[in-house]
Amino acid sequence: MTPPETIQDVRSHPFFKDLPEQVVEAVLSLAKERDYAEGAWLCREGDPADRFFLILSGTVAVELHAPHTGKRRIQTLGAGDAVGWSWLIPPHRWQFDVFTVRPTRVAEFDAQELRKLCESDHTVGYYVTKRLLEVVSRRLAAARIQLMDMYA
Amino acid sequence: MGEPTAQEAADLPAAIMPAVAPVLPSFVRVLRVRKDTHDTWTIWLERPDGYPDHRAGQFNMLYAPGVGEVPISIASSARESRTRIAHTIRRVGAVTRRLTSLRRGETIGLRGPYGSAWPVAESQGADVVVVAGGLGLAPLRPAIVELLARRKRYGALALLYGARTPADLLYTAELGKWRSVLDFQLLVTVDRADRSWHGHIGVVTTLIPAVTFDPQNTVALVCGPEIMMRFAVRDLLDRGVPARRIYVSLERNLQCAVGFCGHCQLGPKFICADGPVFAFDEIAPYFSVREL
Repeated sequence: MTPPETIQDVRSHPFFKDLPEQVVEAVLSLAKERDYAEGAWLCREGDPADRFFLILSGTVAVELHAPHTGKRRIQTLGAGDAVGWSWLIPPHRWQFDVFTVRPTRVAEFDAQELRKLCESDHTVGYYVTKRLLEVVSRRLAAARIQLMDMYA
Repeated sequence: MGEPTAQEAADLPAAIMPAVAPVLPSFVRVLRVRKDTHDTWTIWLERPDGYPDHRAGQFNMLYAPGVGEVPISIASSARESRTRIAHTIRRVGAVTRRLTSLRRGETIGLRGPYGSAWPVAESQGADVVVVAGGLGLAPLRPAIVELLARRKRYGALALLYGARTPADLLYTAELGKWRSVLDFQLLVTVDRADRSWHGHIGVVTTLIPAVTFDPQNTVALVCGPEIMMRFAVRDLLDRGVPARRIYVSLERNLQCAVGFCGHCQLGPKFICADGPVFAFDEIAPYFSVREL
Protein backbone atom coordinates (compact mmCIF):
# COMPACT_ATOMS: atom_id res chain seq x y z
CA MET A 1 0.00 0.00 0.00
CA THR A 2 1.45 3.38 -1.01
CA PRO A 3 1.63 5.74 1.99
CA PRO A 4 -0.63 8.83 1.91
CA GLU A 5 2.26 11.34 1.73
CA THR A 6 3.54 9.56 -1.37
CA ILE A 7 0.12 9.78 -2.97
CA GLN A 8 0.23 13.54 -2.31
CA ASP A 9 3.61 13.80 -4.10
CA VAL A 10 2.23 11.97 -7.09
CA ARG A 11 -1.04 13.92 -7.08
CA SER A 12 0.87 17.18 -7.51
CA HIS A 13 2.65 15.87 -10.63
CA PRO A 14 1.81 18.05 -13.69
CA PHE A 15 0.43 14.96 -15.46
CA PHE A 16 -2.64 15.24 -13.23
CA LYS A 17 -3.08 19.02 -13.48
CA ASP A 18 -6.71 19.98 -14.15
CA LEU A 19 -7.86 16.37 -14.62
CA PRO A 20 -11.25 15.43 -13.06
CA GLU A 21 -10.87 14.23 -9.49
CA GLN A 22 -12.35 10.79 -10.18
CA VAL A 23 -9.82 10.26 -12.98
CA VAL A 24 -6.93 11.29 -10.74
CA GLU A 25 -8.17 8.99 -7.97
CA ALA A 26 -8.56 6.03 -10.32
CA VAL A 27 -5.08 6.42 -11.80
CA LEU A 28 -3.45 7.15 -8.43
CA SER A 29 -4.86 3.90 -7.06
CA LEU A 30 -2.35 2.12 -9.32
CA ALA A 31 0.69 4.29 -8.43
CA LYS A 32 3.71 2.85 -6.70
CA GLU A 33 6.55 5.09 -5.70
CA ARG A 34 9.99 3.78 -6.42
CA ASP A 35 13.57 4.99 -6.12
CA TYR A 36 16.18 4.20 -8.74
CA ALA A 37 19.89 4.59 -8.15
CA GLU A 38 22.05 6.43 -10.66
CA GLY A 39 22.70 4.32 -13.75
CA ALA A 40 19.58 2.15 -13.42
CA TRP A 41 17.58 1.20 -16.49
CA LEU A 42 13.93 2.19 -16.61
CA CYS A 43 13.44 0.54 -19.96
CA ARG A 44 15.39 -0.92 -22.88
CA GLU A 45 14.57 -0.61 -26.56
CA GLY A 46 12.60 -3.61 -27.82
CA ASP A 47 11.59 -4.87 -24.37
CA PRO A 48 7.89 -5.13 -23.48
CA ALA A 49 6.55 -1.74 -22.41
CA ASP A 50 5.18 -3.02 -19.16
CA ARG A 51 5.38 0.17 -17.09
CA PHE A 52 4.65 3.88 -17.19
CA PHE A 53 6.62 6.41 -15.14
CA LEU A 54 6.02 9.88 -13.78
CA ILE A 55 9.27 11.45 -12.58
CA LEU A 56 9.01 13.00 -9.11
CA SER A 57 12.71 13.92 -8.74
CA GLY A 58 16.03 13.19 -10.42
CA THR A 59 17.00 12.95 -14.08
CA VAL A 60 16.78 10.24 -16.72
CA ALA A 61 18.31 10.11 -20.19
CA VAL A 62 16.63 8.84 -23.33
CA GLU A 63 19.07 7.10 -25.67
CA LEU A 64 19.05 5.37 -29.02
CA HIS A 65 21.68 2.95 -30.16
CA ALA A 66 22.89 3.15 -33.74
CA PRO A 67 25.51 1.09 -35.55
CA HIS A 68 28.90 2.87 -35.93
CA THR A 69 27.84 5.91 -33.89
CA GLY A 70 27.03 3.95 -30.76
CA LYS A 71 24.65 5.28 -28.17
CA ARG A 72 23.21 8.71 -28.91
CA ARG A 73 21.70 10.55 -26.00
CA ILE A 74 18.63 12.30 -27.36
CA GLN A 75 17.01 13.94 -24.40
CA THR A 76 16.98 14.21 -20.65
CA LEU A 77 13.82 14.30 -18.55
CA GLY A 78 13.32 15.41 -14.98
CA ALA A 79 10.82 16.14 -12.24
CA GLY A 80 7.38 16.80 -13.70
CA ASP A 81 7.99 14.76 -16.86
CA ALA A 82 6.32 11.54 -17.96
CA VAL A 83 8.30 8.63 -19.39
CA GLY A 84 6.85 6.40 -22.05
CA TRP A 85 3.75 6.04 -24.13
CA SER A 86 4.68 2.74 -25.74
CA TRP A 87 2.73 1.00 -22.96
CA LEU A 88 -0.51 2.38 -24.44
CA ILE A 89 0.12 1.69 -28.12
CA PRO A 90 0.45 -1.82 -29.59
CA PRO A 91 2.73 -3.71 -29.87
CA HIS A 92 3.64 -2.33 -26.40
CA ARG A 93 7.40 -2.36 -26.88
CA TRP A 94 9.84 0.35 -25.78
CA GLN A 95 11.31 2.34 -28.63
CA PHE A 96 14.22 3.85 -26.71
CA ASP A 97 16.54 3.13 -23.81
CA VAL A 98 15.89 5.16 -20.69
CA PHE A 99 18.21 5.16 -17.70
CA THR A 100 18.83 7.32 -14.68
CA VAL A 101 21.71 9.81 -14.76
CA ARG A 102 20.97 10.87 -11.18
CA PRO A 103 19.19 9.08 -8.35
CA THR A 104 15.57 9.26 -9.43
CA ARG A 105 12.23 8.90 -7.70
CA VAL A 106 9.27 7.93 -9.83
CA ALA A 107 5.63 7.04 -9.58
CA GLU A 108 5.48 3.75 -11.42
CA PHE A 109 2.38 2.19 -12.96
CA ASP A 110 1.90 -1.37 -14.13
CA ALA A 111 1.06 -0.98 -17.82
CA GLN A 112 -1.31 -3.94 -17.95
CA GLU A 113 -3.34 -2.64 -15.00
CA LEU A 114 -3.38 0.89 -16.41
CA ARG A 115 -4.51 -0.34 -19.85
CA LYS A 116 -7.21 -2.41 -18.19
CA LEU A 117 -8.41 0.67 -16.29
CA CYS A 118 -8.45 2.76 -19.47
CA GLU A 119 -10.42 0.06 -21.32
CA SER A 120 -12.95 -0.47 -18.54
CA ASP A 121 -13.51 3.21 -17.80
CA HIS A 122 -13.43 5.19 -21.03
CA THR A 123 -13.57 8.51 -19.18
CA VAL A 124 -10.28 7.63 -17.51
CA GLY A 125 -9.00 6.27 -20.83
CA TYR A 126 -9.94 9.49 -22.62
CA TYR A 127 -8.20 11.79 -20.13
CA VAL A 128 -5.09 9.63 -19.84
CA THR A 129 -4.80 9.36 -23.63
CA LYS A 130 -5.41 13.08 -24.06
CA ARG A 131 -2.77 13.96 -21.49
CA LEU A 132 -0.28 11.56 -23.07
CA LEU A 133 -1.03 13.12 -26.45
CA GLU A 134 -0.04 16.50 -25.00
CA VAL A 135 3.25 14.96 -23.87
CA VAL A 136 3.82 13.42 -27.31
CA SER A 137 2.94 16.69 -29.03
CA ARG A 138 5.41 18.69 -26.92
CA ARG A 139 8.16 16.13 -27.46
CA LEU A 140 7.52 16.06 -31.21
CA ALA A 141 7.70 19.87 -31.40
CA ALA A 142 10.94 19.84 -29.40
CA ALA A 143 12.39 17.09 -31.61
CA ARG A 144 11.52 19.08 -34.74
CA ILE A 145 13.27 22.16 -33.39
CA GLN A 146 16.30 20.02 -32.53
CA LEU A 147 16.28 18.66 -36.08
CA MET A 148 16.53 22.21 -37.44
CA ASP A 149 19.95 22.50 -35.81
CA MET A 150 19.05 26.13 -35.21
CA TYR A 151 22.37 27.12 -33.66
CA ALA A 152 24.37 26.06 -36.73
CA MET B 1 24.26 65.06 -52.26
CA GLY B 2 27.04 66.16 -49.90
CA GLU B 3 27.20 66.87 -46.18
CA PRO B 4 24.85 69.66 -44.99
CA THR B 5 26.41 73.08 -44.53
CA ALA B 6 26.52 74.57 -41.03
CA GLN B 7 23.45 76.66 -41.83
CA GLU B 8 21.57 73.68 -43.28
CA ALA B 9 22.49 71.60 -40.24
CA ALA B 10 21.25 74.32 -37.93
CA ASP B 11 17.93 74.30 -39.77
CA LEU B 12 17.42 70.53 -39.39
CA PRO B 13 15.34 69.17 -36.52
CA ALA B 14 17.59 67.98 -33.70
CA ALA B 15 16.15 64.47 -33.91
CA ILE B 16 17.69 63.85 -37.31
CA MET B 17 20.95 65.72 -36.80
CA PRO B 18 22.93 63.99 -34.07
CA ALA B 19 25.55 66.04 -32.25
CA VAL B 20 28.28 63.60 -33.29
CA ALA B 21 28.63 62.33 -36.86
CA PRO B 22 26.49 59.20 -36.59
CA VAL B 23 28.32 56.99 -39.05
CA LEU B 24 31.90 58.03 -38.44
CA PRO B 25 33.85 55.33 -36.58
CA SER B 26 36.43 55.94 -33.89
CA PHE B 27 39.55 53.88 -34.22
CA VAL B 28 40.26 51.79 -31.15
CA ARG B 29 42.84 49.26 -30.08
CA VAL B 30 42.20 45.63 -29.33
CA LEU B 31 43.07 45.06 -25.68
CA ARG B 32 42.41 41.35 -25.35
CA VAL B 33 41.26 38.39 -27.44
CA ARG B 34 39.83 35.16 -26.04
CA LYS B 35 38.75 32.10 -28.00
CA ASP B 36 35.47 30.90 -26.51
CA THR B 37 34.56 28.00 -28.80
CA HIS B 38 35.75 26.57 -32.12
CA ASP B 39 34.04 29.41 -34.03
CA THR B 40 33.49 32.18 -31.46
CA TRP B 41 35.83 34.72 -29.92
CA THR B 42 35.43 37.54 -27.41
CA ILE B 43 37.45 40.68 -28.07
CA TRP B 44 37.89 43.57 -25.69
CA LEU B 45 38.28 47.00 -27.28
CA GLU B 46 39.38 50.23 -25.73
CA ARG B 47 36.52 52.62 -25.10
CA PRO B 48 36.71 55.62 -27.46
CA ASP B 49 36.73 59.20 -26.19
CA GLY B 50 33.21 60.52 -25.79
CA TYR B 51 31.66 57.05 -25.85
CA PRO B 52 28.65 57.13 -23.51
CA ASP B 53 27.84 54.40 -20.98
CA HIS B 54 26.06 51.79 -23.07
CA ARG B 55 23.01 49.94 -21.81
CA ALA B 56 22.61 46.15 -21.75
CA GLY B 57 21.26 44.96 -25.10
CA GLN B 58 22.76 47.71 -27.27
CA PHE B 59 25.17 47.06 -30.12
CA ASN B 60 28.18 48.65 -31.81
CA MET B 61 29.15 48.72 -35.47
CA LEU B 62 32.64 47.26 -35.81
CA TYR B 63 34.65 48.13 -38.90
CA ALA B 64 37.49 45.99 -40.16
CA PRO B 65 39.42 48.33 -42.49
CA GLY B 66 39.38 47.12 -46.07
CA VAL B 67 36.89 44.36 -45.35
CA GLY B 68 33.65 45.83 -44.03
CA GLU B 69 31.45 46.68 -41.10
CA VAL B 70 29.08 44.55 -39.01
CA PRO B 71 26.76 45.09 -36.06
CA ILE B 72 27.95 43.26 -32.93
CA SER B 73 26.12 43.15 -29.62
CA ILE B 74 27.98 44.49 -26.61
CA ALA B 75 28.80 41.60 -24.32
CA SER B 76 30.03 43.57 -21.32
CA SER B 77 28.26 45.83 -18.89
CA ALA B 78 29.27 49.46 -18.46
CA ARG B 79 29.28 48.55 -14.77
CA GLU B 80 32.24 46.18 -15.32
CA SER B 81 34.63 48.64 -16.95
CA ARG B 82 34.71 52.24 -18.08
CA THR B 83 37.80 51.71 -20.19
CA ARG B 84 37.00 48.69 -22.33
CA ILE B 85 34.07 47.08 -24.14
CA ALA B 86 33.65 43.37 -24.91
CA HIS B 87 32.13 41.87 -28.05
CA THR B 88 31.55 38.16 -28.60
CA ILE B 89 31.82 37.37 -32.29
CA ARG B 90 31.04 34.25 -34.23
CA ARG B 91 33.08 33.63 -37.37
CA VAL B 92 30.52 33.40 -40.17
CA GLY B 93 31.71 35.68 -43.00
CA ALA B 94 34.52 37.84 -44.30
CA VAL B 95 34.21 40.65 -41.76
CA THR B 96 33.80 38.41 -38.73
CA ARG B 97 36.68 36.28 -40.01
CA ARG B 98 38.88 39.38 -39.90
CA LEU B 99 37.51 40.51 -36.53
CA THR B 100 38.11 37.11 -34.98
CA SER B 101 41.66 37.06 -36.34
CA LEU B 102 42.61 40.30 -34.60
CA ARG B 103 45.51 40.37 -32.19
CA ARG B 104 46.10 42.51 -29.16
CA GLY B 105 47.28 45.99 -30.16
CA GLU B 106 45.67 46.02 -33.61
CA THR B 107 43.23 48.80 -34.47
CA ILE B 108 39.68 48.66 -35.82
CA GLY B 109 36.80 51.09 -36.25
CA LEU B 110 33.94 51.30 -33.78
CA ARG B 111 30.80 53.40 -33.73
CA GLY B 112 27.98 53.22 -31.27
CA PRO B 113 26.40 52.38 -28.97
CA TYR B 114 23.15 51.99 -30.86
CA GLY B 115 19.67 50.67 -30.30
CA SER B 116 17.26 49.94 -27.51
CA ALA B 117 18.12 48.07 -24.32
CA TRP B 118 16.84 45.31 -22.08
CA PRO B 119 14.53 46.77 -19.40
CA VAL B 120 16.87 45.95 -16.51
CA ALA B 121 16.21 48.90 -14.21
CA GLU B 122 12.53 48.93 -15.19
CA SER B 123 12.13 45.32 -14.01
CA GLN B 124 12.97 46.00 -10.37
CA GLY B 125 10.51 44.26 -8.08
CA ALA B 126 9.62 41.67 -10.72
CA ASP B 127 10.77 38.12 -11.34
CA VAL B 128 13.12 38.01 -14.34
CA VAL B 129 13.48 35.00 -16.62
CA VAL B 130 16.31 35.15 -19.17
CA VAL B 131 16.13 32.70 -22.08
CA ALA B 132 19.27 32.52 -24.23
CA GLY B 133 20.08 30.35 -27.21
CA GLY B 134 23.58 29.98 -28.67
CA LEU B 135 25.28 33.32 -29.30
CA GLY B 136 22.13 34.97 -27.91
CA LEU B 137 23.78 34.77 -24.50
CA ALA B 138 26.23 37.53 -25.52
CA PRO B 139 23.75 40.47 -25.64
CA LEU B 140 22.07 39.10 -22.52
CA ARG B 141 25.30 38.83 -20.54
CA PRO B 142 25.43 42.53 -19.54
CA ALA B 143 21.81 42.31 -18.40
CA ILE B 144 22.64 39.27 -16.24
CA VAL B 145 25.68 41.07 -14.79
CA GLU B 146 23.48 44.04 -13.88
CA LEU B 147 20.68 41.89 -12.47
CA LEU B 148 23.11 40.00 -10.27
CA ALA B 149 24.85 43.22 -9.16
CA ARG B 150 21.53 44.38 -7.72
CA ARG B 151 20.16 40.96 -6.89
CA LYS B 152 18.08 42.14 -3.92
CA ARG B 153 16.03 44.49 -6.08
CA TYR B 154 14.49 41.62 -8.03
CA GLY B 155 12.27 38.68 -7.25
CA ALA B 156 13.11 35.25 -8.67
CA LEU B 157 15.93 35.30 -11.23
CA ALA B 158 16.46 32.54 -13.77
CA LEU B 159 18.74 31.97 -16.74
CA LEU B 160 17.82 29.24 -19.20
CA TYR B 161 20.61 28.73 -21.70
CA GLY B 162 20.69 26.37 -24.66
CA ALA B 163 23.51 25.57 -27.06
CA ARG B 164 24.18 23.08 -29.81
CA THR B 165 26.67 20.93 -27.91
CA PRO B 166 28.65 21.25 -24.65
CA ALA B 167 31.63 22.50 -26.69
CA ASP B 168 29.50 25.38 -27.99
CA LEU B 169 28.66 26.79 -24.57
CA LEU B 170 29.86 30.35 -24.06
CA TYR B 171 31.33 31.87 -20.91
CA THR B 172 31.75 28.48 -19.21
CA ALA B 173 33.88 29.88 -16.37
CA GLU B 174 31.27 32.52 -15.69
CA LEU B 175 28.45 29.98 -15.86
CA GLY B 176 30.26 28.13 -13.10
CA LYS B 177 30.33 31.27 -10.98
CA TRP B 178 26.69 32.08 -11.65
CA ARG B 179 25.77 28.53 -10.67
CA SER B 180 27.01 29.22 -7.16
CA VAL B 181 24.97 32.42 -6.77
CA LEU B 182 22.21 31.91 -4.26
CA ASP B 183 18.68 32.57 -5.45
CA PHE B 184 19.69 32.34 -9.08
CA GLN B 185 18.16 29.50 -11.09
CA LEU B 186 20.62 28.55 -13.82
CA LEU B 187 19.63 25.76 -16.18
CA VAL B 188 21.80 24.83 -19.15
CA THR B 189 20.84 22.46 -21.93
CA VAL B 190 22.35 21.28 -25.19
CA ASP B 191 20.77 19.81 -28.29
CA ARG B 192 23.32 17.02 -28.61
CA ALA B 193 25.83 15.44 -26.30
CA ASP B 194 27.62 12.22 -25.57
CA ARG B 195 27.64 10.39 -22.26
CA SER B 196 30.37 12.59 -20.80
CA TRP B 197 27.80 15.41 -20.49
CA HIS B 198 25.78 15.10 -17.31
CA GLY B 199 23.51 18.07 -17.86
CA HIS B 200 20.21 18.54 -19.66
CA ILE B 201 19.69 17.51 -23.27
CA GLY B 202 16.86 19.03 -25.24
CA VAL B 203 15.82 22.37 -26.66
CA VAL B 204 16.02 25.35 -24.33
CA THR B 205 12.25 25.83 -24.30
CA THR B 206 11.86 22.51 -22.46
CA LEU B 207 13.49 24.19 -19.44
CA ILE B 208 10.73 26.78 -19.03
CA PRO B 209 8.42 24.49 -17.01
CA ALA B 210 11.31 23.66 -14.67
CA VAL B 211 11.80 27.18 -13.27
CA THR B 212 9.80 28.87 -10.55
CA PHE B 213 8.40 32.34 -11.19
CA ASP B 214 5.17 34.29 -10.86
CA PRO B 215 4.04 34.67 -14.49
CA GLN B 216 1.98 37.81 -13.96
CA ASN B 217 4.89 39.52 -12.22
CA THR B 218 7.62 38.30 -14.56
CA VAL B 219 9.72 40.06 -17.15
CA ALA B 220 11.24 37.70 -19.72
CA LEU B 221 14.32 38.57 -21.78
CA VAL B 222 14.74 36.30 -24.80
CA CYS B 223 17.57 36.20 -27.33
CA GLY B 224 18.71 33.54 -29.77
CA PRO B 225 17.87 32.18 -33.19
CA GLU B 226 14.49 33.53 -34.26
CA ILE B 227 12.92 30.08 -34.41
CA MET B 228 13.99 29.50 -30.80
CA MET B 229 12.57 32.86 -29.75
CA ARG B 230 9.23 32.03 -31.41
CA PHE B 231 8.86 28.84 -29.42
CA ALA B 232 10.20 30.41 -26.21
CA VAL B 233 7.71 33.27 -26.49
CA ARG B 234 4.88 30.83 -27.12
CA ASP B 235 5.80 28.79 -24.03
CA LEU B 236 6.16 31.92 -21.88
CA LEU B 237 2.75 33.13 -23.04
CA ASP B 238 1.36 29.66 -22.21
CA ARG B 239 2.82 30.01 -18.70
CA GLY B 240 0.89 33.27 -18.37
CA VAL B 241 3.63 35.89 -18.88
CA PRO B 242 1.96 38.93 -20.51
CA ALA B 243 3.17 39.74 -24.06
CA ARG B 244 4.10 43.29 -23.04
CA ARG B 245 6.52 41.86 -20.44
CA ILE B 246 8.33 39.54 -22.86
CA TYR B 247 11.29 41.20 -24.60
CA VAL B 248 13.09 39.82 -27.63
CA SER B 249 16.19 41.01 -29.47
CA LEU B 250 15.88 40.87 -33.24
CA GLU B 251 18.54 40.68 -35.89
CA ARG B 252 18.18 41.83 -39.48
CA ASN B 253 20.39 43.34 -42.17
CA LEU B 254 21.71 46.26 -40.14
CA GLN B 255 23.79 48.64 -42.24
CA CYS B 256 23.70 52.27 -41.13
CA ALA B 257 22.54 51.56 -37.53
CA VAL B 258 20.89 54.97 -37.28
CA GLY B 259 17.58 54.49 -39.07
CA PHE B 260 18.60 56.14 -42.35
CA CYS B 261 19.04 53.34 -44.86
CA GLY B 262 16.00 51.15 -44.21
CA HIS B 263 17.80 47.84 -44.76
CA CYS B 264 16.68 46.53 -41.38
CA GLN B 265 13.04 47.49 -41.70
CA LEU B 266 10.54 45.05 -40.18
CA GLY B 267 7.02 46.21 -40.88
CA PRO B 268 6.90 49.79 -39.58
CA LYS B 269 9.97 49.31 -37.37
CA PHE B 270 13.67 49.84 -37.99
CA ILE B 271 15.52 47.18 -36.02
CA CYS B 272 18.56 49.44 -35.60
CA ALA B 273 16.77 52.52 -34.31
CA ASP B 274 13.56 51.13 -32.75
CA GLY B 275 15.22 47.90 -31.60
CA PRO B 276 17.02 45.56 -31.47
CA VAL B 277 15.17 44.95 -28.18
CA PHE B 278 11.40 45.02 -28.49
CA ALA B 279 8.54 44.20 -26.17
CA PHE B 280 6.84 41.27 -27.86
CA ASP B 281 3.47 43.00 -28.10
CA GLU B 282 5.12 45.73 -30.22
CA ILE B 283 6.32 43.36 -32.91
CA ALA B 284 4.03 40.34 -32.52
CA PRO B 285 2.22 40.96 -35.84
CA TYR B 286 5.52 40.85 -37.74
CA PHE B 287 7.32 38.19 -35.72
CA SER B 288 6.28 35.18 -37.79
CA VAL B 289 5.45 36.82 -41.09
CA ARG B 290 7.04 34.86 -43.90
CA GLU B 291 9.57 36.65 -46.13
CA LEU B 292 9.59 39.70 -43.84
